[in-house]
Amino acid sequence: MKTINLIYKKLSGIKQFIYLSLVIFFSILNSLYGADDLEKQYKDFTKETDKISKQFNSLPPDTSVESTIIDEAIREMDKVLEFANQSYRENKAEITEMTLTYIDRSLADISKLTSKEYSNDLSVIDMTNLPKEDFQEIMEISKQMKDNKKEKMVSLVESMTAIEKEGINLFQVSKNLNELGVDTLNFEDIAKVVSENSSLKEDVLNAAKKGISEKDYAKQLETIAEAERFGIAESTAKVAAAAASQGLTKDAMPTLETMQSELFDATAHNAAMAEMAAEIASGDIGSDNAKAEAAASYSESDRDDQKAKSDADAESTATEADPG
Amino acid sequence: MFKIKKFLAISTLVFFATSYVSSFSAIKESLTVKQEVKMLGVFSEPKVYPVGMIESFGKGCKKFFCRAQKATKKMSIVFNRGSEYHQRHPGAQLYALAQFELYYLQQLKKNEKKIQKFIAAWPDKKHGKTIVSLIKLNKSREKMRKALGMDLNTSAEEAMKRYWIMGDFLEKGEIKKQKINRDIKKREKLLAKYKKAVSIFNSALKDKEYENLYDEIQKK
Repeated sequence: MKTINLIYKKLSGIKQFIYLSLVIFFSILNSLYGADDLEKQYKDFTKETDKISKQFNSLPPDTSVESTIIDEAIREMDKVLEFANQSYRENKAEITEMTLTYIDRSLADISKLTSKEYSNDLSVIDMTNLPKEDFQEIMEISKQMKDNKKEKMVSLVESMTAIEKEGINLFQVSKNLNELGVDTLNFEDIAKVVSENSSLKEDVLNAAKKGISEKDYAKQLETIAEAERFGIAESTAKVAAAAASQGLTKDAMPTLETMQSELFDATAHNAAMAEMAAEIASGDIGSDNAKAEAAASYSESDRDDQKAKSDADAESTATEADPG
Repeated sequence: MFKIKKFLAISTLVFFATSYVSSFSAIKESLTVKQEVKMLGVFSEPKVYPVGMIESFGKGCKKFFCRAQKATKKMSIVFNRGSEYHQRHPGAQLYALAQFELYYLQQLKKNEKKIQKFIAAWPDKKHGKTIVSLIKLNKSREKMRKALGMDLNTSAEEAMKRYWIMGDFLEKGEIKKQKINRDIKKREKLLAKYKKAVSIFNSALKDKEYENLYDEIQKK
């Protein structure tokens, strides 16, 4: 009997040992395939941003207006960064990603307040001397960059709406940044996105309403109404459709002839090109890990004249082709 | 007492086992792996190069191998340059992107047989490591192209042409130096560091969704 008891006790011990070994085995596997690498990158990220934050705070206050704006804007961004950290800790990866994209974009806008040591003056280029094919290619690239920018803007506004539901109102943050003097996402940008994507309208307005004053909300509504009345998107689409029905491949870009004519606003064009060049230079399309998405954009306001001319051009072509 | 211990042990075991399995729940199906490999494209030697690019190879360098080697060397030098260099040479980055296209083609050529063997052996993981590194390279290529409004359907010749034309265009401008306030300079540097930190971690988050796919391809 004594022996049986002894064997039973030993077997129980072995059983417990097996259970324990299995628990340890799965714990190791879990740590290997779980958050592992990302967790390390998160630690590096928080360490780096904490360091940068301390460095910003230790900077002596500067007398220049730009420095004051930058310092204030960074304090505004700190709140957003804290929210991103909190989202990550709560395992809300998608919200963290969206918030970081917003921070990235805002930091790029804040950076525009700092003038670069070297600038590239493109106004010295004589556009009429460029080979025809190269010229068309540059125009095409500009157009596609603009489309990219538009896509990103829609996605950003969508993200801001989703983030608002999670606890931070980025419409308000953007408004604060604009009031500080940072040229960033504003009422007009939001209005443009909403007027071209009506399904977003309700959500965006609800989110914006919670973050801005009644007066500002009224202003936002007015801007949207104006954008809708103006109907840029709709008219451009109609022109394109009319042209397409006649077998023309007309789009919103000006033709080479328009650009080479005396009417063409070369100064505005050069300014827009210069901005594009600066964006390419400040972006990191050439970095070894190829974070190219932040690359380039093409200033819309600088191209308004050309766009209007192009629309008129296309409309008259379409009308000529189909007078009825 | 023993029953409670047993229950606790089993519960812990089930918890860890479940979370271990769930870490693989997002694994894409085999079809996705094949699709990703298909997206790598097939090597085809470029028939046309931008004139400026040919000049950069030098007179004696006419074969694809020589051109790709030279392009890769030049590309890596430019990619490692600091922001001040890029401000002074606005076209350099775009020329480097054209050179990257050749580097990618060279990688495709070099690993052509491995890709074929991988496809033939799948789901056996033959040359998985090479395939994963090619997929990562291809994703970079896609991002770079997207910045100038192109995608993976754009031919290498067309992509090189576009990068080069834009590079030439930017190089035609006049570089002007201006004096910058020291405090602004400090803030500029900090902003750049801040942006880089955010961008790196955001990319890591985005890449996480591919990690399971990479594991599926290379882990035995």
